[in-house]
Amino acid sequence: MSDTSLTTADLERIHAFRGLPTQELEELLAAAPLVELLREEQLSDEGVLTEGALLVVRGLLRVFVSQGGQPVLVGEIWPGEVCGEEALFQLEEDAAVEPPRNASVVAAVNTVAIRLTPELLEQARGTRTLAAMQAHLIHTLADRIQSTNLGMRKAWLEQQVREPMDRPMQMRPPRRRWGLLSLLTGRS
Amino acid sequence: MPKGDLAVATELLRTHGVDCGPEGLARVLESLPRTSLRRRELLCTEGDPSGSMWVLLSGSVQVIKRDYSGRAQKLAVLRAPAVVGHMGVVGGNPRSASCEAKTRIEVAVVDKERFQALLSELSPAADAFRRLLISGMSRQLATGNAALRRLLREAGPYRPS
Repeated sequence: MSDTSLTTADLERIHAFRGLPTQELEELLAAAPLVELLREEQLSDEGVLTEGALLVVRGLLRVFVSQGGQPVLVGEIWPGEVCGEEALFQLEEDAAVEPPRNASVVAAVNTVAIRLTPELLEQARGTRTLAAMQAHLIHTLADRIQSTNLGMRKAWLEQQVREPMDRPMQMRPPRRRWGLLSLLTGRS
Repeated sequence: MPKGDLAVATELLRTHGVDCGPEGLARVLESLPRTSLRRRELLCTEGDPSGSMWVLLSGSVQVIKRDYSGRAQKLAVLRAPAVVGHMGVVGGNPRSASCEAKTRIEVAVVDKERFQALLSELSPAADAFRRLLISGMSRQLATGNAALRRLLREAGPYRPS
């Protein structure tokens, strides 16, 4: 087996795909666009956001943001985890929602992912595999939204704590780098 | 099938960018129990267990959250047709905000058991329901992340103390 090929056994290692009919998994593999990255290869910024979500099947992706010109690791995407799910069903009017511009996704080891395009989801309609992928996405989205909500709460609180101190004394309490990690990966 | 359910399903799918016929979703709506609330009645209360989600069929709902000091902050107004309260049912967490009827409202109730069934069923109706949820939640996440990025940017670069 080459390093970048996928088999149904790879899919069955992912919780969402366990117990699904092998034939359906084979059909998914035949239809799914694969994204293959060699170690230290960077996923193009455009691809992350515009072509559909990525489901990592094998390997490990790392998400970095640029802070002061330096890349800062803010999260990891392990097999079975999804990134870029925001782009799946975006409408034209959602273009006003500002995309992240300074995030980059780099393979920590040789990595293979499935791109979950709207076309792929359409093609798999009526299968148990599609229902499992949709349920997996719904739970992933719920986790990410919860992390973002938590980040917002912390940011508001931090703002409230800092502002009164800024004015009279020009002092700032120490701040932690908590937000971007959950923002991009849902991991803390 | 009641015409109202078909119209609600059509509008929900259109506003969420889900490209499928409305009949399946209308059938789901038709099968759900309904309840009505008067203005200012609470659909759910922040911190309560999440036992169900709702499809807002008519009227509008004010989403309210208590801030760090306990003051009630009005976060958003949801207008029918809309999906309400899904986060708690998906994640099994307590309600993250309260929802108060801003006008008289009618909702279709999706309890936990029905929700779980809709997550795994292979029918076109269940597929439409899942796509509706994914679409709504993707947008919710994109909007939330954009707001968080703005907050972080306003906070300025990280400087160790």
